[in-house]
Amino acid sequence: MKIIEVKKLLKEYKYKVKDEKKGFFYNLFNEKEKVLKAVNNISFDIEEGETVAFIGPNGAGKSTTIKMLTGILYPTKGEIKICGLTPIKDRNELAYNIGTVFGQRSQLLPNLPLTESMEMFGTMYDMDKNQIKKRTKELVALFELEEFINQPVRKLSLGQRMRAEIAVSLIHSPKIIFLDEPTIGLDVVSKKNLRDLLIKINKEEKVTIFLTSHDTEDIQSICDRCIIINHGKIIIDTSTKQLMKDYVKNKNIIITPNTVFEEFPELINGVKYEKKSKNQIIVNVDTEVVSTQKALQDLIKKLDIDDINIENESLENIIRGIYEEN
Amino acid sequence: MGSLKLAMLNIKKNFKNEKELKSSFIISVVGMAINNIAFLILWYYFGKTVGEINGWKPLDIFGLYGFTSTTFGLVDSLFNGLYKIPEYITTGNFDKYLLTPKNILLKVSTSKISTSALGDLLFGIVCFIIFAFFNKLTIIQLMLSLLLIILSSIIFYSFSLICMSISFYLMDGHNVSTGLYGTFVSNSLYHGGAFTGVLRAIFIFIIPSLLVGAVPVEIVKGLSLDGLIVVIFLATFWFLFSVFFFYKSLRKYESNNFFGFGG
Repeated sequence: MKIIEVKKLLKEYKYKVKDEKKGFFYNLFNEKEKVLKAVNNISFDIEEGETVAFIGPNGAGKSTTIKMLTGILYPTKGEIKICGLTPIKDRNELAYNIGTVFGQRSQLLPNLPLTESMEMFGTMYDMDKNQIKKRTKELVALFELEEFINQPVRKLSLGQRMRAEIAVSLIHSPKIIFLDEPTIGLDVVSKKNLRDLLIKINKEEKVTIFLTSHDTEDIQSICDRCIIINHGKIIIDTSTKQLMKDYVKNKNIIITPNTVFEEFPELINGVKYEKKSKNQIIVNVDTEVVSTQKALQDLIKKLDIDDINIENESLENIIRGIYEEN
Repeated sequence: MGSLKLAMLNIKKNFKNEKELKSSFIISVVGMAINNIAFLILWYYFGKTVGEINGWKPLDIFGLYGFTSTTFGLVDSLFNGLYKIPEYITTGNFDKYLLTPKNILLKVSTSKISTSALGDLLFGIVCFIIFAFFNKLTIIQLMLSLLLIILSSIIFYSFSLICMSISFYLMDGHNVSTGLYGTFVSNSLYHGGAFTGVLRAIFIFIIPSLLVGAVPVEIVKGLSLDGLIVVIFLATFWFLFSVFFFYKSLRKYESNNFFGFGG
């Protein structure tokens, strides 16, 4: 069942431009208006239970899209249906079906314990005291909030606060959760914990996840599907696996040599050195020019190898390549 | 109904939230009350020196401060979120109010409380008691005063909402909003006898400063039914217009991406 339907969505921003050659009074009355298409005619559907990464470079139109999907911004043109509702018209009803987490903004009461925020949000979604109590208990267990549930929110670490933010946004058991940069500023351990939690709520509570992030690890570990947007247009909409498959053009071969080289042997066309050191050699293979097998055969012939490891190009490099191409 | 219940809970939680920082809570309440007392003494001695001006006696200053400070205290303490609208717009924090299933205006208005305004409220009540005692107000006059405090609060809330909603239209709306609001508040605290003719009309019908202090004092003293009807009519008008203006302005909202906490 389609839970998000977007058809030919357009968002234009108008801004004033001054004529630098003219004076103050001329510009005061004759400013020209320019139009920026932040989101330019995009269409996509999302099925219930999907985990989707909506990614793109800064200024690509990610946040504008997410804000139109959640009913914050009015679209200039186009159609949006979330759970069969039109966000801007059915804002109140929509709020019962979605949860939102904006990485940079907190929705919690800073000086009070988390339970107080839970109670406030539960009341906002018309839950009675027993329902709030029961749901809070479930979320505390699911998100392992027990250790800091009674601390004022302002005293929580960023990682704990983000867990709390997500837990609060799930108080009313929404069908979809929109996350804008949920792991921004977190350390590696907190990031991993948060990703595991998001996977857990998708599996256990069947919550559809719509996420924007610049962290490729978020995308790789949480999302089954990637929608890449640039200059307001969707440039790729595919599964994360397929993206890796289609766009992996390079492989890295990591070699621990037995011999210490003074002069490194020349390699065949399509294979080049990425790193030359006494203990480790990394070579990059362009699989469009030469097969990995051929490159390996050549390397074994030319280098005295103690250990060898082959790695795919990272998703970060793939996405960077896509951004640069577009 | 759900929106009202949430608004009440919001006020309760925000009060609790502010009370957690006990020292700043007490300092801001007491500090504001002291500030107001200094201002009142100044006006009282001015009135005593100059004598009666356009029917206003020195003791009426207590009535003026009673109405104005109580009204200001009520609105500013319970609905302080209203005054944060320009900031919410600039920082993009307004987003979260659009994501809630309840009445946006009530949710925004009750999103913050002001502890210093509780000092104003306390001060206003004391001033009103002094005014009522020395003027020997009757039960009817006291009931009328209560009704006028409610009507003045509605006008105060409404005009503040209009001032703050201007921020939806302008890039630097914060300055314009607070400037207009400042004009409204400062004129409500001036000696009631100073406003006559065109000036009086301006500050009743265009910027309703006199409706939250001077006019209620005059209505209570003269038991003026005509005056009461005008205030009821104007309170209804300002309230309906301000709500309409807020929702109309809301369509202009363009969410920004700034970092922030709470709000």
